[in-house]
Amino acid sequence: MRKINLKPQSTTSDSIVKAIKANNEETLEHLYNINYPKVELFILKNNGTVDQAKDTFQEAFVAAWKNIKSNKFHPQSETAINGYLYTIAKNKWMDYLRSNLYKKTLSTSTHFQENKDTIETPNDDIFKEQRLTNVMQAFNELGAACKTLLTKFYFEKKSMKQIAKELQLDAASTRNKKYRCMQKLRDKALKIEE
Amino acid sequence: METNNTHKQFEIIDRYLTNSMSVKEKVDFELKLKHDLNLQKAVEEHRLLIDGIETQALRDKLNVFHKNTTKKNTAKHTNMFIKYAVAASLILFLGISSFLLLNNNPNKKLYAKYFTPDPGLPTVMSATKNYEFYNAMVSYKQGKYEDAIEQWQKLYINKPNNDTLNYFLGIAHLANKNALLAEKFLTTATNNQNSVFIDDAQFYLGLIALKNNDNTKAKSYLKQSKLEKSKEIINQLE
Repeated sequence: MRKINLKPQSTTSDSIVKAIKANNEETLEHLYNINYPKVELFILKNNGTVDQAKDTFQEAFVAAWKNIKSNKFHPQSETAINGYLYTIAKNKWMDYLRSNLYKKTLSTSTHFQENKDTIETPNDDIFKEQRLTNVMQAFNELGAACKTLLTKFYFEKKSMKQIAKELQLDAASTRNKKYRCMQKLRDKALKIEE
Repeated sequence: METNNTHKQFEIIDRYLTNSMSVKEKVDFELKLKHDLNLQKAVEEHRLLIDGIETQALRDKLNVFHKNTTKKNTAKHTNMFIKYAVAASLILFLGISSFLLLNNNPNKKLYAKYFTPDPGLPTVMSATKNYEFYNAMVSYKQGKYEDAIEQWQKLYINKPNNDTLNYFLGIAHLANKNALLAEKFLTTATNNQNSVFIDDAQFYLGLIALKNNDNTKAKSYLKQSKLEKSKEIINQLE
């Protein structure tokens, strides 16, 4: 079994953070179900569509998940996570409403003055973000066998032993397969970059 | 490039990034990492691949979750459709029977003529501070009085004297055909003499009394209400 990167503590908030970091499916789905309706209602009330609500919420979900994983956000309770998710989604939607993309479609809307300095991300981050998107795209283009194996190991965090059993392979060839899939992913991502 | 050596290094970095190293191994590796620029680059690249896999796998999962929630909602919608169909036929039935009944009762006629639920408060964008209250208002406006009552009731527990809550709880109960509870809430709403709802609350209390065939009580409430339609009803009663 693989170790989980956390100090041993046993509060309830800790266990939900732990579950999120381990990508526990039940926990993630629970958070999705609890928070999506509130965000949808907010976006529908503010000139958005159901599709926009879905996209905005999922973006917010990924952002919250990232910040919890990287310890940038330490929620004290599930309520804190719910509030955090709602705030991110709301801000993302407000940013969209203020953006040029939206204003172009609404000639009569009032214009907000944006403070560019505070919004702009450093170039380095944009570069990193772009490379991440490339990897994600490359992953999507990978064959089903590689996708399954890599998802089981890196997302579901199953042990190689467990995966070998599930795929009915021996440990050594599972390991080799994983290595080859990662090489493929890397090459594809680099190709997209060019 | 694909020598045994690179595969070996791949496994070491992989173990490092997935927290599979022992404490000692990790300390040794990090020491080496500090001085080896090539290794740093390889670790960063590997980390990016893992991040990409995890993020994309999460996105795929989110779409599955989303499909599950909409599935549940469509099930709800069909249920709702049946409910609405039943409600619609009930209303039709009640409409016909009350039409027959009302012909003999002038008070009920007046009540039916003048009772329309308050249009409610505008639900605006900045309403998030009072999120629960306005969420209930949305249900109220959609005619889901029971939903609205349930949500306002939760807020009411902490603010039993709030005129806005009492007023809308009263109207929602009245619209939901529960005049007794409506009277209780509307009476509390009129306790606050400065309330912006006072004239409306008196008007509705008058209507309730009218419904109960208590003309004296109805007149006394309606006289206190400064609304034009209150005066109209008084004229018709006299």
